[in-house]
Amino acid sequence: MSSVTVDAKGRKKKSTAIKRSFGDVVFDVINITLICIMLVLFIYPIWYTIAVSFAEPAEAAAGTVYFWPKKTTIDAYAKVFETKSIWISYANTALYTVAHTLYVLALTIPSAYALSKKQLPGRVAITYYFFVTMFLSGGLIPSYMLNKSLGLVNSRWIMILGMGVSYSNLVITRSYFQTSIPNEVYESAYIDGATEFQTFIKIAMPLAGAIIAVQTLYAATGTWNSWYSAFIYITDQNKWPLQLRLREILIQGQTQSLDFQLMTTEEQEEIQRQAFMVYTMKYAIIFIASAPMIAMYPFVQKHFVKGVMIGSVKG
Amino acid sequence: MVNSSRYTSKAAMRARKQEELVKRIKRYWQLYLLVLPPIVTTFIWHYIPLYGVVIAFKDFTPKLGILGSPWAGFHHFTDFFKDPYFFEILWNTIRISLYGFCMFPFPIIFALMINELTNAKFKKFVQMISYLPHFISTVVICSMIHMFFNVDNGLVNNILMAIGVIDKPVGWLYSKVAFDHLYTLSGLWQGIGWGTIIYLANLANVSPDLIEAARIDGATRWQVVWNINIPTILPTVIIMLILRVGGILGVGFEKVFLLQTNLNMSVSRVISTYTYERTLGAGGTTAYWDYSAAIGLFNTFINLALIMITNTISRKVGETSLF
Repeated sequence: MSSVTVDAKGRKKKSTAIKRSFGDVVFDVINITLICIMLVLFIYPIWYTIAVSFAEPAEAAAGTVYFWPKKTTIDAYAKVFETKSIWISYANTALYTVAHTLYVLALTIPSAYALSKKQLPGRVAITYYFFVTMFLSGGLIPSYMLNKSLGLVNSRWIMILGMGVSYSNLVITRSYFQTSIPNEVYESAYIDGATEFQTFIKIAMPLAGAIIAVQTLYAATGTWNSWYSAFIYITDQNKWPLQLRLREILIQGQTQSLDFQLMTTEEQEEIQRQAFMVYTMKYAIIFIASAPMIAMYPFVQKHFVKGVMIGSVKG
Repeated sequence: MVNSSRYTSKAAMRARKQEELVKRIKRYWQLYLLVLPPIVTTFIWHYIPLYGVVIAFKDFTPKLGILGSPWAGFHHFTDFFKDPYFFEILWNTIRISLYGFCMFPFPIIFALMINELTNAKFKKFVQMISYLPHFISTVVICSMIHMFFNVDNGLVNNILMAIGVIDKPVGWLYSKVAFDHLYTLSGLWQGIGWGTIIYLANLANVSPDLIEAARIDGATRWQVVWNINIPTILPTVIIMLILRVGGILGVGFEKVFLLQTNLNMSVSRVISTYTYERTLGAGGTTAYWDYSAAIGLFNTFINLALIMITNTISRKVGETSLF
């Protein structure tokens, strides 16, 4: 009898060293429960948007969709696809995103490389020159006056040109060059008679894939999502980017720009359905506008995180 | 004799140093060429508008231009202090900003919570989901708020009515009380996950041996968090705090503007939206360009002062500073 309890005790003792105590279990249960609640809060608004976009218009208009519609339809998407103004703005945004991203890369990567060279005279002064931009700015009207005199108001170029560099991006890229490429590599190249251009293109660039990916993604998402400069400068609707069109349709409620053509059909029901569909179309538009980002997201997520990490290393 | 020779040698040395510098500059001309384009673009799009700020001190008319317009002294600034909206927009700006500032601890807490997840796959999943809202554009976020909180068939009203909290729809976006919460809590929703990255990176540096040693000595999970994890991220927390304090008067234009409705204007009109409202938002008029430049300058000045102050304090107290 007694030996058994000793045995049991011994086993019990052994297991407490590995097994978690009651307090730990409580800790985990509370923690995981809270995190699950947060997960629901993160996912639900997105889920709901998708659900309504697929809902039968009448059901959506009745406000009874919470998790998934009883009857689904892709008519809202079909209607959005027929809407020319959205596609024009979509194409504009694609153009602006590609062009502006290239512009940003062309400005940021070479200059950050140059600033990563500790032996460059005046490097600190140049860095301060960019640093100041973080704290001082001209503001809305002086910028507007400048762009007006440059002839950029209502021009596509306003979406592409601009300062193109930000201090934080420069610092991130600079510290990447400083930390990830050992100086010896450059030195041996210099000894072999390489010029600065050659070392940049033949040595630094091939090793800079990670930072180029990070900068590309930052610039691309930034431009894809940007709204402000188009809002201030572009009045010609044919040049509008997607986000400006979205604001018009979704926030200002200008649904007539959906080119909403009531079909010739005489049936009251169909007209009613189309009227309701304006509502589900809004959700479909949100999904379509965010789709490229969401589709790309799982694959590029780690690059974004890497960008934050590189940035947190004090350069 | 001795002195003069020393002088000549000093002068010679200086000359040689200068020569060397010129040589070095010549040697690196290609690097300067690489850094030149952003210097030019920054000059054009940042420093020229910075110069344009002088219209804040002028009675500007486009016909006379920046240089030709007569000086106005400080009267645009004193006009602003007498502006009937002055206290309203200042209070709105500070209030919205301070409310956002109160959200500061949440990403830290969330990071500590994620860090305690033992299942690596679940942890990855939580991180991925929580970063997602960060990539949704401001326009889409604001559209979602407008749609979800709509008085007419909005999701929030539908849910609240279905569970019996309210019996008729609330016009959240027309409410003077709800604006701050809509603005700030949606910002929290969008930013909390992304905000954890920097803290999680820090927490990954905590040595597992240290935690194991503490556990063997009988520390509870909570004690490990409190005595090991929190002290580990504290320096980062302080730096993030300084950065945050510096932006206290920097309530951005976009989201506030997109959430503005005619009925919440008295609580949502902030400095940045007001300068727009008086100028470009008022049609083609240029009457208040100088005035709004003065407001912008006032804002910049306050922000700069705040950054200087917090930076000085943190250098003295926390021995960390930005510059």
